[in-house]
Amino acid sequence: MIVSISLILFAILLSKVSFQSILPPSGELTFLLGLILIVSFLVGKLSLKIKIPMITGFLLTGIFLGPYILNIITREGVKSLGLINEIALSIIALSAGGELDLKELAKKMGSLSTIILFQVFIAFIGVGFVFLLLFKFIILPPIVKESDVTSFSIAFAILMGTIATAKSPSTTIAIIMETGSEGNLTDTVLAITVLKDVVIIVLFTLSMALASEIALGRGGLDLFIFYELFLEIIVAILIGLFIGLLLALYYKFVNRYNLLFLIALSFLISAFYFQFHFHFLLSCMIAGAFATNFFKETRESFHSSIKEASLPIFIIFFTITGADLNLSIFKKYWIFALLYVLIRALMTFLGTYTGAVIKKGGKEIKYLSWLGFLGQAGLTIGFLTIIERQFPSGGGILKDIALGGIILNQIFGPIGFKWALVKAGETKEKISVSI
Amino acid sequence: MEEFLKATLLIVFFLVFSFIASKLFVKREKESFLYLLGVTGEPFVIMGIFLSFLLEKVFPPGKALEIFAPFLIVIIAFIGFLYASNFVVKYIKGLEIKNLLYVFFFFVLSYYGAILTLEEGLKAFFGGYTIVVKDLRVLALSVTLFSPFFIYTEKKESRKKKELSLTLFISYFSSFFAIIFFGLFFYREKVIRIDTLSVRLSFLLFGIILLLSVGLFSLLSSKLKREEVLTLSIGILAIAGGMAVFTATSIITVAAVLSFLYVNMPYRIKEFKLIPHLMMFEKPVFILLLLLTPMFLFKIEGAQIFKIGILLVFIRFFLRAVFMLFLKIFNRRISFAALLPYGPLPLAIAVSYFFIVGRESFIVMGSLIISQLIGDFLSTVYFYYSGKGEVVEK
Repeated sequence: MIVSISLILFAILLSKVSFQSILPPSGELTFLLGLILIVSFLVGKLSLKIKIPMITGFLLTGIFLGPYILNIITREGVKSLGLINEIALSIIALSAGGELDLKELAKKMGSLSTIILFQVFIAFIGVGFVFLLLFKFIILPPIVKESDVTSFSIAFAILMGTIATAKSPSTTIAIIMETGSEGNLTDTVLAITVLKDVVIIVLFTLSMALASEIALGRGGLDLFIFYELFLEIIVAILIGLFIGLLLALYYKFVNRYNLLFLIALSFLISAFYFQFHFHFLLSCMIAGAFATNFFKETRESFHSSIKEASLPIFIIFFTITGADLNLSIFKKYWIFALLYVLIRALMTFLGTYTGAVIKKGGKEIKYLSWLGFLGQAGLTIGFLTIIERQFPSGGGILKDIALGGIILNQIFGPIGFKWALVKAGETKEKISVSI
Repeated sequence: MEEFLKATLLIVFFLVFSFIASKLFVKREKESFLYLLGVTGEPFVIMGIFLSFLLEKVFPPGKALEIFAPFLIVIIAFIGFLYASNFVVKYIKGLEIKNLLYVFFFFVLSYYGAILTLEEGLKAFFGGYTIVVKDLRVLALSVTLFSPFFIYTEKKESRKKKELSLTLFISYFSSFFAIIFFGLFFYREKVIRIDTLSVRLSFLLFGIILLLSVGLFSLLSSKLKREEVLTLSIGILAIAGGMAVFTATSIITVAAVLSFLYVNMPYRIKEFKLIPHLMMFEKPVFILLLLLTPMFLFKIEGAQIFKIGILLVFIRFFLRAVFMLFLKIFNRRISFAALLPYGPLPLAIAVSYFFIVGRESFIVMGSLIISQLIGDFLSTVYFYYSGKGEVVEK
């Protein structure tokens, strides 16, 4: 407690003298990294005391240390830590895949696909419809030409509906690992998270094409888009299988310095991603699943090295995510953001509930699993950046509203999911609170 | 970005290749030569030299270092911290005035012996190179260092505990003095970058908070889980390393002082959990250091560093032999095999030096890499052919 308060006070003091401008770049980056690790860890520990997940503590630390409040992690700092962030994300995605049991997944495929179908469909329609009205009558009229309001409203409603279906795999896996959860709810949420990623990528590509056609008269839905998308997904899967094979071979034949190898591999994946922009989350998840399901001897070593690295990785990733959340936008559009969050939550519940009822899922799936799909982060932000680029007039507003929603979803989503896991009795509650 | 991809590919390739090589070496029989090479980390240095050569082709000068600087800073801080963690005063065996005098003599002999012989040796054997004073000081300090990570002992049946404990005693104290002196030498060498009162005050406060954190951390670490201890340690080391770079002081010294304070806090030693946790990462960190440090090697004329490196190895061996003879006068023996290995400390000092003086440090760094490579190889050869030893991984 004393340490955390002292460090936070120190951080505040540092913000007053803007140390970033005087530290040499390598020193600054290392210093920031240390500050993030210590302050976020301590805040994470404190947050456990008030029964909220550690990652919410990390996010809040990021928000407070970030450019919009204390400015200790500046925009440049966030940018410089980008590579470390990508490495962390690769490891999180690898571990998400590694948690999947493909045999179990195959058994549950019918119910999982039904739940995904209803979740996506209902969230898309529900959020899309409400925002169609909001865009047409409130948000867009002051910004775009009167003749374009209807077409832009339809296009943006389609995109908003699509954005509402996306979720954050990293948040899900972080909460599962933090609470050490095991059980039906955990497995279902994890499996849906991974599978849904593919569905969302496809849906987003189609929505972008459709929205561009409606609002800008270009883009169109031709077969080439399907072909391109199909190729992208196949490439991501192939890359994933290749990485998974590398991982498995390494664990089988070398099996030394596993943590170092995992970090090096993630470094490599990030470097490839920066160069070729493939769907690296999907690739990493497939790699993790492939290595641990088809090479059984890999499983134990893989999980133990992931466990060793998980805490610092989650701290870095979620603190930077928090620092990257644009609070000034939230102040501007908080009502729409709140509306987006509430409707999305309601639709996610309805979609999950309907799917679970049809497939006769257990109580925990019907009433609790929807809470596992509220968090939104990296993938969604990536989509929003593409939308803003494609629609220079008005796309920015859509992005800002959704980003406001993401801030709320990212803060309250993990709390909800942890609560659901506790309620379902699937947590191990092995987290010791000692500071 | 294309350069970044190529560099990453190279590093991962070499890292994995080194792991495989090391695995193959260490798999051999414990008495074999290749096993000894594997344990001393030789494959990593050789791979590192290849890697640095290739990285130079891929990257513009200094770029590779820019990318890997934060990693190196944490690695150096880690090594300093881990090394000084051996220094629990009340548990050091043989802490008596006579032994401290031996250490003092060893330190003075090695340091001044190296200063006197290095420049003269270069003139006599290699046609004369002039080394600037601060480089000479660092090179001389490296002669006083020991390998804290691998201790060569004689076979169990002939192991003489008294000999070994004196060797360990000298190695701990001498290396610790060297690290502290290194920090003191260069603290005032360069203009400290702190220039306003408010910044000075905030960093003073920072120092106090860091010490407070380390103190509390040492008290609490027994209650924390392994990954939590590790996370906090990396955090403290990164802050200390970043601060050291900022104040143009030695990273390894700052980390060693923190570690010294940490391990000497008054509390029950049985609950002391940090060091075993950190020891798990000792090898990967050493490997990374060996692999990344040679990046500096090809930045300057190779012949010069090669000559200095070779000379340094022989000066080191020679001065340690002189020290052994000196001990004989007092009827004390010391394990010569244990005196030889280099280990990561000279490299860690070299990289710390880089973060103080920048590119001016390249001659020292290159020379120390060469001396590490040759010195550890020769000590392995000596150890193997003396036919009476085994390597005990500490």
